[in-house]
Amino acid sequence: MILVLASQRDPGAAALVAGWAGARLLTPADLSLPGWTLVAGPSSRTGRAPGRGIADGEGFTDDGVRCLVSLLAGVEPGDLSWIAEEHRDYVATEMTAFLGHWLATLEGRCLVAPSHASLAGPRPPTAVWAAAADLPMTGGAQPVTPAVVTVVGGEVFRVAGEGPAPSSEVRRHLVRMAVSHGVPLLSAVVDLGGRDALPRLHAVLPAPLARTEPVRAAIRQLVDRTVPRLVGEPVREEVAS
Amino acid sequence: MIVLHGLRTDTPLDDVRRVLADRGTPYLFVDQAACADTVVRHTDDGLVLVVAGREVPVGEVRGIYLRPYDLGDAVDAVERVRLGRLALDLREWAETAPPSVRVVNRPSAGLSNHSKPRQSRVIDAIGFAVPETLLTTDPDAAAAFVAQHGRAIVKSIGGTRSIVRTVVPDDELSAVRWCPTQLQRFVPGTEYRVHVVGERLFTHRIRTEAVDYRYGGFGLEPDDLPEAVAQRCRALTAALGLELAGIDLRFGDDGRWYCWEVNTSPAYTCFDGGDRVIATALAEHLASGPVRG
Repeated sequence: MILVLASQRDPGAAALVAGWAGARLLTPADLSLPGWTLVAGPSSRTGRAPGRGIADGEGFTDDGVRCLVSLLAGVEPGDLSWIAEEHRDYVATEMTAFLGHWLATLEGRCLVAPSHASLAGPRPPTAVWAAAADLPMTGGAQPVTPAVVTVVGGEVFRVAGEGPAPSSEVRRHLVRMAVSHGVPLLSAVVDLGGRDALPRLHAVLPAPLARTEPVRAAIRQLVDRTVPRLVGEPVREEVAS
Repeated sequence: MIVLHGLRTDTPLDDVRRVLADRGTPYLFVDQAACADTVVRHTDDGLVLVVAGREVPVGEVRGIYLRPYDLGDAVDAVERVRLGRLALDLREWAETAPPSVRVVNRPSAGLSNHSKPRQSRVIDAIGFAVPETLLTTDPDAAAAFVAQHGRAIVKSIGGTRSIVRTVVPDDELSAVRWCPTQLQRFVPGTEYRVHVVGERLFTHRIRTEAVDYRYGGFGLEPDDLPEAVAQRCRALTAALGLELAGIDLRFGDDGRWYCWEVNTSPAYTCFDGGDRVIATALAEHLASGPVRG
């Protein structure tokens, strides 16, 4: 089973799962359903009791998770419309902390390992990303020609922004940046610059965006290509979306 | 120079400032409540702190102590945006400071107690005991856990401060279905708080009748840990990448040393005597050159 962790407000996540046999969407709403049980502490080392969870409203055991793709940096209070408003901040923090622990227990089965700062991967300072990309930063300045891109494996897709597409050189810089941090999936804002201005890195987003079908197809292919199958798991078949 | 960042009314930060001032150690206080002239400039060579129009070369900085607060509604919306941007920039400036600068604590390291069970994996690996723990949204599973152990405690999973409470069989637990909840086997024993500053330890035994001493009456008594446990505290602090830590321990009636949590930005003042030994150690640590290897 492949899990896609995302906000229920993220249409890209829903579309990613809709076109992917064997994939299930896990949202904060699933964390407000009875059925999650994870043991920690000394009991967790017995290996006899896999964690139980809920995705798409249905139960699963986490030894059946082949890969988890996170499109969620953390649970936001705005994701929790069914929780009393005065409790949303606290519940969002608790759910994020819970997911941070659970994802850490999945270890190599997360497409991108979570960090303490994001459920979707590392969040070093922009200066560190820029150095890895060998691109200058925009700093505090607003980008002149912003483009939002998603890096999937060795490919770069524009998911928002106008103007020219990122050049092949910019794409190479972004892939280098992602590879240097061992992150096969991330989204970034780049300033493509003007006629005389150089491309600059504006920000790496807290979580990747899967807003377009080419990005979603690339994510499915990446997972299929790089993540080993569980014993007995059927070969994935693409379903029409 | 030592850079201090936070509020002047924050006692742990101000105690360090007073020690530095008494000793004539140069310091710069970047006051959250009065930082209109503070910016972090983005240059192609990295981030540069600028205060009152003057650049603070990172080469002149030996230590950075960060204790910023979320000022929330205390300021208007425009100022909140500016302070939020500045807070992010200062965090990134401190995070990217070279290893020759002692940062208490690097922001990335300070995040580890935002998920207590995740931090417990490191605590366990270092060799402290961690009690049986269940994280659940299932009222039946929660009830079964409590029944198995007879007495359990409930506490927050994340970094939000919450009052630890005890639950026993037949207590109402249906609310766990709305949010993952952490239950731990109750461990009877004696509570300790250990502040680690670099390699130095300041240990207090806590005398209390309350399950959560912070919300009940308590008395403090300086104490020493067995050397093996002290070394474990140092190893745990180093493993989490911290220069300053507040470690919550309990010596169980079963003879084992349990560790609940490592606070990565401890408000140590109530454990510090009038001689301010912890603040003094921290000031010395900030001023004492390169970080450990």
